[in-house]
Amino acid sequence: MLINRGVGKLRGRRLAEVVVTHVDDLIGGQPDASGLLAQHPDEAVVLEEMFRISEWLHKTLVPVSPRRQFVAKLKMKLQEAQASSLAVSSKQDQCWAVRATKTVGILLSIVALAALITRVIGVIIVIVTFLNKRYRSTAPA
Amino acid sequence: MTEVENSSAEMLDENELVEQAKTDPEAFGELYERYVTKIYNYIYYRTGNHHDAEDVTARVFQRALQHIPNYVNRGLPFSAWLYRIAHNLVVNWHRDRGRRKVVPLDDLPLGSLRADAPERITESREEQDLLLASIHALPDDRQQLLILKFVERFSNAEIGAIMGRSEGAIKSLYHRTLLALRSEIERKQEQNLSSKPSD
Repeated sequence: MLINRGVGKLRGRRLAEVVVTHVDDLIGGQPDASGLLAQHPDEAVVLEEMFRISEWLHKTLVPVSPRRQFVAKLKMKLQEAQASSLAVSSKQDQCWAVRATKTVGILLSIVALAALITRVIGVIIVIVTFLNKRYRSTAPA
Repeated sequence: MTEVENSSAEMLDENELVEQAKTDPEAFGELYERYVTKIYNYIYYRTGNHHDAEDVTARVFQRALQHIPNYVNRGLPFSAWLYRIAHNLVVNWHRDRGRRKVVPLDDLPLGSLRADAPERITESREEQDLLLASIHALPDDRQQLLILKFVERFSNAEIGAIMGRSEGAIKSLYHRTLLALRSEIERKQEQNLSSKPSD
């Protein structure tokens, strides 16, 4: 049973190769159905049918063209949409830059203020310590 | 320049164009022009009419525009990304409309058929309708394969890149698609015969 399945798979692959070779030749403008059939006489009946359907597909599925007006209008619409979106995005980027600069500025100000306050406190402590020492040295025994 | 070198040069050009298109409307316009007809063709054959094809094509490129800033080149052609968007939107379209089996087909391109006697045109038209209706009854991936193969004329390797499969898998899929198509055509022909009034 496994052997049969294996043989079936091989046969399927071989048929697939032949069928695809035929359709590639067909699309390339140089079909050689009779040549391929001659190479695979055992599968001629099946292959002939596959070739017929491929030829039918080739005859029916032809490229179409969209309306020029549609193509041009859509192109314009897309480009305008993109330009508009890029402009908005650029404005947003600028706003972000301004906001970021402001935030950094505020933070630096807070740090500077904290440093100033710390210094003032330090000076106060020094003055208080000095005054305290002086008071103790001049106080009566 | 050899074919491989040409292809590499084209990929490089396309990669550069895609990068530019992220921030330059002119570049995006050029990218659009390169692919709009191909995408339109794919969608036309998936939806079956020009009106819906225009609508879905517009949505494909709008979505592409929205997401191109996040596009990352993973070594596949840019078209593979576009086709994936198109495929997904077409699947959504079918789901939203509940259409799957038969899609009304309008103004089919009959240019490839020789316009002989009127009855020959009618026959040909009927044959075309039968084939197209049978194609539309197939699963999405098989429809996609047939359109990429016959309408877009991609190679098996290119189709594999678009569908995320190996070349060998594409060949196998094509063979199975033909078998499924044959069954579907036979089924529809039997349906047509049984629905026709007896003479």
